[in-house]
Amino acid sequence: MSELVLDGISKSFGDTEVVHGIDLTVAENEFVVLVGPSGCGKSTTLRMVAGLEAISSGELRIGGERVNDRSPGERDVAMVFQNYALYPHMSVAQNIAFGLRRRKLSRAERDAAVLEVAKLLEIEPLLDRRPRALSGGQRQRVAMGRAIIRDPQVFLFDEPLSNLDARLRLQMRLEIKRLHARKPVTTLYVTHDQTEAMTMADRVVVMNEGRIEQAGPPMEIYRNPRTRFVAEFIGAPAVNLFDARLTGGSDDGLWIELADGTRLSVPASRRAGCESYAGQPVVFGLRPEDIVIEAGDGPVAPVQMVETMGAETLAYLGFGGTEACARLTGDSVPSRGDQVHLRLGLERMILIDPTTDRVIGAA
Amino acid sequence: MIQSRRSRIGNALTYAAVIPLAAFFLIPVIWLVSLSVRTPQEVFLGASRLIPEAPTLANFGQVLTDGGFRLYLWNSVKLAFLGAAGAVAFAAPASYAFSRMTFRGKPALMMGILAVQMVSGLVILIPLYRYMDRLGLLETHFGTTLLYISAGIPVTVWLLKTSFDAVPMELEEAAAIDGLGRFETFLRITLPLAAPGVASALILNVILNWSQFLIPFVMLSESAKWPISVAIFNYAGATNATTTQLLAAACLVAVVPTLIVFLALQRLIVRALTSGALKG
Ligand SMILES: Nc1ncnc2c1ncn2[C@@H]1O[C@H](COP(=O)(O)OP(=O)(O)OP(=O)(O)O)[C@@H](O)[C@H]1O
Ligand SMILES: [Mg+2]
Repeated sequence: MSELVLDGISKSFGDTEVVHGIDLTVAENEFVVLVGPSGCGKSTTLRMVAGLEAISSGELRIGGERVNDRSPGERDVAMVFQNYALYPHMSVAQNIAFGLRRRKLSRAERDAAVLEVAKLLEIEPLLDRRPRALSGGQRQRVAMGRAIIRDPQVFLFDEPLSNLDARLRLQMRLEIKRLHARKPVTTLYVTHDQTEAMTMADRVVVMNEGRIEQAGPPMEIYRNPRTRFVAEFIGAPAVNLFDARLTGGSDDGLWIELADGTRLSVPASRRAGCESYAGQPVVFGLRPEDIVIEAGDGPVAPVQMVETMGAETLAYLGFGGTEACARLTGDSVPSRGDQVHLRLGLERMILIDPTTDRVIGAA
Repeated sequence: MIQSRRSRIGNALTYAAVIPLAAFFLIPVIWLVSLSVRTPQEVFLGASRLIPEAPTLANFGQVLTDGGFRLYLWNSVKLAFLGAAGAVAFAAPASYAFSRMTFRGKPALMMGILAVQMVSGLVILIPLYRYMDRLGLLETHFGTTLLYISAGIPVTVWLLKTSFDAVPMELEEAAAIDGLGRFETFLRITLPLAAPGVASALILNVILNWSQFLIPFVMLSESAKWPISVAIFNYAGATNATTTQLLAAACLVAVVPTLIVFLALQRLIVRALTSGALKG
């Protein structure tokens, strides 16, 4: 239970650098989720923290101490692997107890510790079984038990839920969260699933091509992405992006002109940040929940496709020269072919400079 | 219909090929069995009476109660098992390194080991004899065992490497995080999980060593140290028609342990596989 610091950590395999100088501090007991597309270097980064991969350059500190040259066992970290990595020739109890071998505990103390962890994870009845005789979710719990019992300084997870079916994934997600609330540990959690990142993290770190794109609390990342990549990667369904142009008049205010000629007035609250882009092309982004169907004087769009999901409905609209997704709540569900009036939450729009792919006005 | 007719033809062809092959290997064995249960009188009848009129187990009794023969059997057991255990013990670390570590020249080394396997024993027999002579290890079971071990190492390295390769890397990584050193990980995780492969390597070595002839023939001239293979050869040279049935019985007794070892350990392998030693 201590601070984890990655200070300019890089990794090269031969001549190719795959992780480029990661700077990241995970505060004591913080739950940080590292998220990014496949191949962006998440696992490599995590494995460097664990000591399974040598650090090419930079410094890794756990609890203020440099641990670059320590073996995995000496770093006092615990890791849960994607495919659980349970020892198949040992019982569940032996698997869980295995991490305690280095402590000089009596047999009774060890059994008590195993039982306590098993109770916490509700796997007591399974203690005598072999991993082979467990379901995916049960294996997952045993893998966590093996990590928890060590009471490590840092907890590492590498896509621990990706082998579970959707329902179980939700359940375990909640359970990991609950466990962390009950027994806080400094945690670095890797996933490629942005929903997992959003729901579990105290702080989300978005990685792309071996670099950190942005780090911050989930809602911060969601509402104020700093780059086009983050805007597109975080959020499901994904943010709607439109090619547009900012046009300004002297007293007329500032307008966003979409490809199909629709003109939207930039609200006063957002004007300051983007005035300098007047007359230039921009990418205009709007989250699906910021498009609302409402009678009024808003733009009109045809409904091209509808997906009902129970509590909410996704409507795909012909808008802005492309197809836009609107997330609708409430019971009035439009049907395909309807012409609907839209109200757009322009205060929350995301404007991106297409030349740099950076969000305009972002810190 | 066409499918099943074709597979029936396929079956017929398979049998047509396999039956002569089986016969080729079985006929000498049948002949041996036939000889071993004959009385000296019937031995003279040769192949004209495959199933003797008065079959007897007396030959086996005579062979098995013979002190010399028992000693040869014991020598064979000793050499075969020590040689097999030694080969596995020495090959295991090498296989582990080949399986888990990256180092320069690894492919070349692996091929080199395979190349050693391809060198005929006959070619190196004379230099080997002189080495062992210089080392003072001629006429010893110790020296013979060493040669068995070195003869067994190349194929054992390859066999074990394959079974170590099959143990998932994550398990060793998990063990490393749980605080195990490399050797401990090998001993407590990799080796137990590769047990079926290790058992197969042991069996193979025992069987190869049991039928080993050249090495003990050259190394050991003192009859008390002979394994069964050499003993039978020497007796066959000195035999006449009146002892053929005894020799046949001795041959069978010599072959049976191989079969027993094979069948016993075979079951062990199957058990290891089905008890979930492999795979999560
Ligand atoms: N041992 C290795 N040798 C060479 N390149 C490697 C090695 N391990 C990983 N890489 C490369 O490093 C990059 C990052 O891989 P990494 O496994 O960290 O990605 P990831 O973000 O975990 O992806 P995923 O979500 O698919 O697990 C990839 O381009 C990969 O090809
Ligand atoms: Mg990965």
